[in-house]
Amino acid sequence: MDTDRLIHALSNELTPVTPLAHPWRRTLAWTAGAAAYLALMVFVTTPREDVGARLRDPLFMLEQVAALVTGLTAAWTALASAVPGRRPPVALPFAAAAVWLALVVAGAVRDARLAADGTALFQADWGCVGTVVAGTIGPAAVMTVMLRRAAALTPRLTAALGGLGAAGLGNLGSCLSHPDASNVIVLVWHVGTVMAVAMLAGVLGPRFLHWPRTVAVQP
Amino acid sequence: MGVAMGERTPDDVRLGGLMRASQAGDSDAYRALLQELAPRVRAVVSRRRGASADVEDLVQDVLLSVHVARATYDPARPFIPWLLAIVRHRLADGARRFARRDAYEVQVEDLDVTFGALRTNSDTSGSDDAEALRAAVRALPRSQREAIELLKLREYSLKEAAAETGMTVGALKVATHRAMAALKRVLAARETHGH
Repeated sequence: MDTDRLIHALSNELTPVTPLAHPWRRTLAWTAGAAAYLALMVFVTTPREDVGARLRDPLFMLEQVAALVTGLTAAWTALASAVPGRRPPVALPFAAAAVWLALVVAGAVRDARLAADGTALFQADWGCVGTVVAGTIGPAAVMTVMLRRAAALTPRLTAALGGLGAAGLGNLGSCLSHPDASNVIVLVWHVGTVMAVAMLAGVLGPRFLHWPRTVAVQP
Repeated sequence: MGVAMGERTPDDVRLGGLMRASQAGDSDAYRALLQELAPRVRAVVSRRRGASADVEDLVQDVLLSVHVARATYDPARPFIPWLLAIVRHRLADGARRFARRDAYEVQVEDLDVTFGALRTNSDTSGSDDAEALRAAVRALPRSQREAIELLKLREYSLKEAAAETGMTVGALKVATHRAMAALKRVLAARETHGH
């Protein structure tokens, strides 16, 4: 097909589209949906018994704020990175994640010093993984739909950021619903799960964020 | 097409206006926009790829990408940086794709011709041709193979094939065109070499 015929075909099959809203607006919409999903999850699984005490712990609160900021900035940069011509600061969510990691490590050190019996500090806790993943699924599904409406400019990076955003918020839901014996467990099972989700999303990104198949002609 | 971010020349405003009308469904504005973009994109691609036969493929890739991503254009922002971001990414995709293709492609132009005499048809030549065609179809990229199978072998309409594959009608036409060209090349090469 020559290019003139392609132009003719594309203009003949043109349908109206609604321009995507600004990435910040889309991030807010996504956050509202994710918050409703996580509230429902925490309600269904019942909040952890010590949630009141934990919310009075400044370090716990700082960790949650850092996780929230990580999730929100990651979601924003993911959505903005899929809009041609925008150059979001993709280092921002990684900086926020580094702060979150540092706070969790600080908590783990504190718990290790306070613990009388070191063996209680760390144990396999697949419940944490389950609740983080459960909290991630809803926001990740909505994020995927939103990203697929945009342009697949950098599918790996965009998907990794989207995964980090969803898992960051999923971690928040998990922390409010699932008790943890120590911050060492949070460090390994929560942070580990969030990072694994982000990396997996990055690897799988090109499978669900791509140009139409004919455009992405294979060799 | 050199325009800094945030700067809007009259040309940029006009192209942005055409895109805004296109987003609202104005096919005349869209045709005018694509007709304006094609030579500009071709110039950018030619600078990067030289006088390669791939240039027109890349121009079409960019136009299809513009079509798919048209909802991402924000009418309040400059148009040309939006377009150039698509061009830049599609060129990078194209460079990776052509590098992979070149790595697998076998150049046959320099092979010695040792059997110059014309061969007569045999009883088995028909089945050989059919098998060669099947093999050539199997070797096509998936999108092109699906387009050929649905449109040419199973005689689907373009709309039916689009619904089946999730591809646009324009994309299917391009895939079919490229597949037919590839099949012709393969079968012509086979004939030239006496198989």
